[in-house]
Amino acid sequence: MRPTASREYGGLAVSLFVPDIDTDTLIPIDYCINRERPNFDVGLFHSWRFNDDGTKKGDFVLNTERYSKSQVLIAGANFGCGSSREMAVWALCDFGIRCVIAPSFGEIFYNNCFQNDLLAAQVSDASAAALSEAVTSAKELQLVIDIDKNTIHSTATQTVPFELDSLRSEMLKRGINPIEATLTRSADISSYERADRIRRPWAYQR
Amino acid sequence: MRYGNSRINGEGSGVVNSEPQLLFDKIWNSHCVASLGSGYDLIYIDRHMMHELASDVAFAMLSERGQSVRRPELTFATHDHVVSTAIERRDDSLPKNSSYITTLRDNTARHGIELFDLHSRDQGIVHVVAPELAIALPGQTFVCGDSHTCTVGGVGTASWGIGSSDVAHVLATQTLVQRRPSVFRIECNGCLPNGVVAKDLILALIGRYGAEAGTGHAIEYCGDTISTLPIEGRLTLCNLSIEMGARIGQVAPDDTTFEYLNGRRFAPTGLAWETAVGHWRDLNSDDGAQAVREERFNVSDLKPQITWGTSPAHVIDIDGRVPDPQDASDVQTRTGMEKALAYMNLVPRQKISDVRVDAVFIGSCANSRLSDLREAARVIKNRKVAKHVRALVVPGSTEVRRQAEAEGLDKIFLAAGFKWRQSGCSMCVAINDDRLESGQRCVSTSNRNFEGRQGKGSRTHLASPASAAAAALVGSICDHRVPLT
Repeated sequence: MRPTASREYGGLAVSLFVPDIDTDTLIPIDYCINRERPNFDVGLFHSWRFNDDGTKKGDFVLNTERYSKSQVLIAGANFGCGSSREMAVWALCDFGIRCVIAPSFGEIFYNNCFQNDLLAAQVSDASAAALSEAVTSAKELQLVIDIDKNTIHSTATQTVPFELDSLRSEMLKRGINPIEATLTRSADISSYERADRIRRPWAYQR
Repeated sequence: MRYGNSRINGEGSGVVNSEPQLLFDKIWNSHCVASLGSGYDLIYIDRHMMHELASDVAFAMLSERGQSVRRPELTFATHDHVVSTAIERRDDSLPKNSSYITTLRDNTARHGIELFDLHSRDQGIVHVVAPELAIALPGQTFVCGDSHTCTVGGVGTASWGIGSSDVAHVLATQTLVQRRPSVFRIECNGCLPNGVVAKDLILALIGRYGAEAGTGHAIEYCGDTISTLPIEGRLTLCNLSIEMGARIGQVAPDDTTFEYLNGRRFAPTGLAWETAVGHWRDLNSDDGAQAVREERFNVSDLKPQITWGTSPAHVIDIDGRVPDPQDASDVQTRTGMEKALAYMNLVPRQKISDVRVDAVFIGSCANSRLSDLREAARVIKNRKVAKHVRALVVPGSTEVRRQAEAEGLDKIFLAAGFKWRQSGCSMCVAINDDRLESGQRCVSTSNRNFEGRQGKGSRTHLASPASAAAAALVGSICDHRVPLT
């Protein structure tokens, strides 16, 4: 379920700067089933985080002491491509991630993020590379994310802009539930149906 | 191109649009309930399908808020993702999955939604049964909580995959808040060479344009190659649009489409059918309508395609060599390729043919229809699967299975040493017991070669049904067009 909007999306940043990280990698299917919120974090990057015997892979960045409590993830292009599983977003949220920064996102994943108060911040290729570099070389870099100005900054990086349209931005700021927002337009939907039923009667028959 | 409010609800309402329009824009404009600003529209959804995996949370979201299903007659449900494909399957064939089956049954009964249950003759993979039963029709908006919903764009539908929260949104409101995608038009011309099929074409397109070329776009496939492609080929083509990043892929409906749909269970009948076809004939891109991106692709010299890596864009000709990450143009791509090669246990510049395989999977919403099974059976007939290969055929629907059996395809597969199963998503998503062991390599007719997709540590090579069938016989990746040894 949608958490209360907190408006705080920054924090300790970690980088996984490879392209095309798909939602199967974000959470393998076995960890999508028979589980409830907020327990999807177990599955997050499961095959990258854990050995076959269930022990943690010590060298994987999210398993290191420094980054195990990361709140911001910097990733490569096309992050979250593939399957529509919303569990990929729940796994990130349940792990404690508040914002993912990438040059581009899989579209279904991107949509799912905003349904769950996870900020998907799209930046230029150059900005993503610079942020990744800064996060990797600096110790425990905190990123400050401003969703009023759509900017990301830190003590070690220049301020970079990210893309966020005003509808998404309002959803985050006001904690709007999309279903309730649409239900306020029920009259519009009914009037559309009445007119459309005349235009395309077959679409309403079965 | 910008669309003012005057265009909304314009189609068929007596407003004459002199400006040429694209297929996609015609459908979108006619489904716009309201414009919400920032490029977003409230879009009416004509048909919605549910499966057992993405639906339980959506129903829970509704009941938590005391909301009801607005138009239950416009939603259909089936079991496909978690079901066993065993011949004598039951709800509890796989105890860890059984609650998903019973929960969907309970929820659909409670809300008055038609379910194609486990033993229904209409059961099957959502994207196979939707066109097969004519639930998906030209010019409709169609959604499902599954990314491969783009498949049914093959019959001229605007269809796309959504997450569980949006499934709840559709149930409660019969609409979605969506940003209008721009159109990416790919014109394919020429005759597909012998032995080269829609699967090879779409893999080649993904290889050419990349795994995110379609992001933010609805892809329209057009050109003489497409207009001569049978519907099942068009469904395969549109199926992998999401592997190019596009939520929507579509082909303009034509006589081939109408002939395919006519008489199917949920197709309009009588006068309604005539009226509908009259309307659908206008569903194509007008001359002079410009897409944001337009590409041309000649298919005349296309070879069978196969993936080598862990992105569908990692694709090469069947007689080609694995690329070298050193040739990559940027660091990100190089890192991705190196990671993929290590995972797939391949080395740069090695030939892809002769790589030994452990398993072959023929099935999934990409390639599990009757024509796919015929194509594989043609290669397999009177031959045997290599001793070390585990080979599986999973028809896309109970109806496909029935038709295949009626023409004896099951006997060809069984005699060769393939397993012949009940329909479902099976080894494409590997939530049931159809899965690979860690390190095993599979040639698969599915659509995703991601790490671990067919089971933890599994290695997937995507290809056409004929290529998969040939690999099963030879025991390694091979060109099905040359005599098999």
